[in-house]
Amino acid sequence: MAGFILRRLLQLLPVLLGVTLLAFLLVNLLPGNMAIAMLGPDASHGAIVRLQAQLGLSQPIWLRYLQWLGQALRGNLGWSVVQAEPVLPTILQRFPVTVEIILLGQLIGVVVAVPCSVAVALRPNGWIDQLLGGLAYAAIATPRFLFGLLLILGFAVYWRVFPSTGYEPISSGLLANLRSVALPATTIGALEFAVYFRVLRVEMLRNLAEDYVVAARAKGVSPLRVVTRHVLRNSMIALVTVIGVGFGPLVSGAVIVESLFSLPGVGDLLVTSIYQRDAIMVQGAVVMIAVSVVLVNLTVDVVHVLLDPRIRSGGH
Amino acid sequence: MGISVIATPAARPLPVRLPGGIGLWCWGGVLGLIVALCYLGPLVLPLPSPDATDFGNVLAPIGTAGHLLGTDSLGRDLLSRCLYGGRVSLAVSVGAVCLGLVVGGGLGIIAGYRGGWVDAVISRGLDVLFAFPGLVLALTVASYLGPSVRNVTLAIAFYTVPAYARMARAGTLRVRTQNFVRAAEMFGARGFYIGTRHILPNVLFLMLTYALVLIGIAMVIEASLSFLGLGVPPPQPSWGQLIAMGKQDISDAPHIALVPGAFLFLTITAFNRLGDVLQTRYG
Repeated sequence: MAGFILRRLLQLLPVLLGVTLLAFLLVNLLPGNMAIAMLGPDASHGAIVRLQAQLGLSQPIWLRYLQWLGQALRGNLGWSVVQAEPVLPTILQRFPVTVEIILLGQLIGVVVAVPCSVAVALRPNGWIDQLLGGLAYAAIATPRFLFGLLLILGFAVYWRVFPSTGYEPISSGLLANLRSVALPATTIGALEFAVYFRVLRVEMLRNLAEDYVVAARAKGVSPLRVVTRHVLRNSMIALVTVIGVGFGPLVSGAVIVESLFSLPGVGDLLVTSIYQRDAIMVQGAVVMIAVSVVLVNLTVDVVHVLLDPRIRSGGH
Repeated sequence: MGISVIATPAARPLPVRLPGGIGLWCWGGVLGLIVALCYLGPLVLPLPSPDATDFGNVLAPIGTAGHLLGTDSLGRDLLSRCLYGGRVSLAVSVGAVCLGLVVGGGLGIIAGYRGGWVDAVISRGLDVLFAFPGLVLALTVASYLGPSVRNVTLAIAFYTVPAYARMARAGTLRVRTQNFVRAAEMFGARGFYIGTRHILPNVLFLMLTYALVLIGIAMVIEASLSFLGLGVPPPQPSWGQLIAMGKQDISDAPHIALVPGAFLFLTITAFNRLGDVLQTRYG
C-alpha cells in the first residue's frame, strides 16, 4: 500500500511541475506585456518601468519561473498590486466557500440519485425510469448558468424564498449560511444528480443480472431488500469513482455558480481578477485550482485501492 | 412491484434500452432545423438586423407583431439575435472540436503507435492539461488572447485537444498489435503511412461519433465564457452572451434570457442524443 502511494506520488511530480509551468507561462508568455496589461494602455512610462521592476519582468523567463517556483514552494505566491494583498492568503480565505458549495452539491446529487436509482432498479424501464431518464438527460443538456438563472427566477423572483445573491458565513448561523448557498448548491447538485443517476442505473441493472441476486430472491429476500442491501452496495464503488473524477469539472461549475450568485469563492476571485487584469492573482488561483485537482485525484486513487484491492494487484 | 425482473434476471438480456431509428431521425431533424434556421433564416425570413434598435418596442413579449420572439431592453429583435448568435455558437464549438480532432487525434495516434518516451512525454503533457478544469483553462487562455471568435475557439480547443488525444491513444493501443499493422510494418511501411492508412480508419469512426458529444460540451464552455463576459465580444451576439444580458431583466422580462436558453438547450440536447444514438448503434 505504502509502495503504491509512493509510486503515485513520484508519477505526480512531473505533472505538478508541468501544471505550475503551464500556469506560469499562460500568464507570462502570452501576447502583451504584463505591466502594460495591468496598468492599462494610458499608463505613464515611469509607472510601467516601476511595475516591471517590482514584478521582476526584466529577467529572462526561465529564471523568473524558477524564482517564482522557489517562492511558491515556500508558500509565497506573490503580492497582488491590484488588491494590495498577498496572493496565497487571499485564495485560501476563499477556498472554504468553493469547497462548501461543491460538497453540498455533491451531497444533493447523491441524496437524490440513490433513492431514484433504487426505484428504477425495482422496476426497470417502467414509467419512473423513463421520467427520471428524461430528467437526467435534460439536466445534462442545461448549462449550469441557465439552470441557476431558472432557480433565481423561480425561488428568488416569483417566490421570494431564497436570496439570489450574497453569502452568509457559518459564523452568522448555520441556517443563514445554508439559506445563502441553497440555490448555488442546488444548481451544482442538479447536474451531479444526473451524472450519478445515470452511472448508478447502468451499474445496478448490470448487478441485477448477477447470480447472487437470484440466490437472494430464492432465499425469499424481498425485492426492496435485494436492491438496497445487495445491488446498491455493489454499485457504490462506481458512484465513488464518478464523485471523485467529477471534482475537476465541478470546479468549472463552481466558477460559473459563484459568478452568477456573487459568492466570494475561488472561482469568483479568478473571474474578477481576470476583469481587473490582476495577472499575479490569476496565476495563483489557476495554480491552486490545478494543484488541488491533482491532489484530489490522487486521494481518489488511494481510496479506490483501499476499497477494492483488485486494482492494486491487477493494475500493476 | 417488478418482482419478475428481479426473480428471473438471467432469462432476460440486459434491460438497457437501445435507441431506435426514430431517435436518430427526430434529433437529426431538430438539429438540421436549428442549423438551417441560423444560417438560412436571416437570408429568407423578413427579420430586422440583430443590432437594429426599436425604442418603441422595448422588452416586447413573445408574439409581438414584427418581433415574433419579443425584444430586449434596447428593442432589438430576439429571434434575429438568436439566429445570428447561433451562428457564432455553432461555428466556435464545431471549430474547437475540429481542431481537437486533428491536433488531438494526431497526438494520440503518435503517442499510441510510437510508445516509449514519445508516449511518456505526450501522456504527461495531457495529464498536465487534464489537471486544469476545462472552463478555468479556457477562461485564462481567452482572457490573455483577447476576445474574438478565433481566440475563443482556440481557448476551447485546450479542452477538446486532450480529450481527443486520450481517446485516439486508447484506440491506437487496441489496433497497433493486430496483424494488419504488423504486416504493414513487415512490408516496410513508414510510421506516417501506417498511422494514416491503417490506424486512423480504425479510430476515426469512434472519434466522429464522440465529436457530437464534444460539440455539446464545447457549446456549454463557449456559452459559459460568453456568460462571464469573456467570450465573443458584443455587439456580435452568441447564445451565452444573450442569456447573460437577459439576466438583468430576469424579473420583468424573463423571456429575454429564456429564449436563447431554449435554443441552447435544444441544440445541446440534439447533439448529445445523436451522439448517444450513434455510439450505441455503431460504437
